[in-house]
Amino acid sequence: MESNILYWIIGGTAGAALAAFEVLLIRTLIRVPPPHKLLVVSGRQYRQGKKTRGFAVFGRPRFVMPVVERVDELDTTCVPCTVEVHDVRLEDGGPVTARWFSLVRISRDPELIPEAVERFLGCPADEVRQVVRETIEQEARTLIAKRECRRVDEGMFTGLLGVNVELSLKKLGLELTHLSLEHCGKEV
Amino acid sequence: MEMALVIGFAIGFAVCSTLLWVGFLLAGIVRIPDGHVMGLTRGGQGDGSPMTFVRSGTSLVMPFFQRGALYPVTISPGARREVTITRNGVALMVCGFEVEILPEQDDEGLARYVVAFGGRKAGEIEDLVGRVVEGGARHVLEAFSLEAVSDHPEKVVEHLQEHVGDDLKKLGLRIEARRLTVRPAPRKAGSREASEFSLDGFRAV
Repeated sequence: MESNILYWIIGGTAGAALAAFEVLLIRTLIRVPPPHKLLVVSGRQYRQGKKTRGFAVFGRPRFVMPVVERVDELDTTCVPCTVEVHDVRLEDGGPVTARWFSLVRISRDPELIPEAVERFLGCPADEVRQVVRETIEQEARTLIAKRECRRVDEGMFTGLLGVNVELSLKKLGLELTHLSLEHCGKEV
Repeated sequence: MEMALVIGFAIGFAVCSTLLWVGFLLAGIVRIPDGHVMGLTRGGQGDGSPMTFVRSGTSLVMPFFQRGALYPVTISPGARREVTITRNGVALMVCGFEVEILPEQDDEGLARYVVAFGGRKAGEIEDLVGRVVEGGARHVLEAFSLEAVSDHPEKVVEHLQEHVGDDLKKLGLRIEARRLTVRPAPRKAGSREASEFSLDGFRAV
């Protein structure tokens, strides 16, 4: 009688363990990204479109092979970035300090996203911010040097800057959502 | 002996499995609080959006197969914000505005909003949106003189609609209530508001 109870307990425990394992297995096999993120699956060769790469990007739930494949999440929300450029000298007036505000995000465009994955997967938002800051500053200084505009606080300057920055960021798999001049004042 | 082992296993598996699934299903029931929308990542194949939205009431997020997150949908970027329009760093006029901004109602617009601001708190979104509107207003008003703003407010509205509305549309947002005032900077003693008007029709196209 006692040994029977023992077998019941052993059987019951094994059954419960199997149920828990089943849940764990489903959880491991099916990965679902939150709406504002993408899944990057790597570990094999993936064919997406005409190209074969070492990773694939999904915005939907995805079946993942455990051990063989690795899953990372890529945040595609906007990263705010403020860039300040000092000692800007153009035709009119003395040197000024200009500050731009931008919103940039990792592109969801299938053509651009591989670049972003290669550069920014696993990187904190600060790294994206740093790249954006350097790009905007560099493009602003190039534009200032070209002297195509008379003033930094002219709408055309920010417009041209936006076009140039957008092109540069595209090469990195980033998308410029917004760029505007936030402040322009005389150097103290 | 073997029979006891098998029956014990079957009962243990059935009970534990049922309890776990019932628990997960109960945990998947979400009540959507006021002022929020729930975005869900859903499965399925094809080119359709993987996102779906639940705007109010109670919803079931299928455990393991769906993932949801709550996003705030009422955005008031400060009661009143002011931007200073400069010419070569010298302040010319100050533009104050009050706006109420809402995410677009359709799924496509909401998806853009979620992709742009997902995971951020309401206060943070308000600050970012406020800065976007400020930047847009500055860009538009820079092209106008104070007299032009006073004489042709409809032109200002048209340009704001085009520029700010487009910027906000990219973020899945639209402007609901609006009021704009413009005055010279620095303000002269005894001067009145140079221009104060409601920007009717100032919304994302």
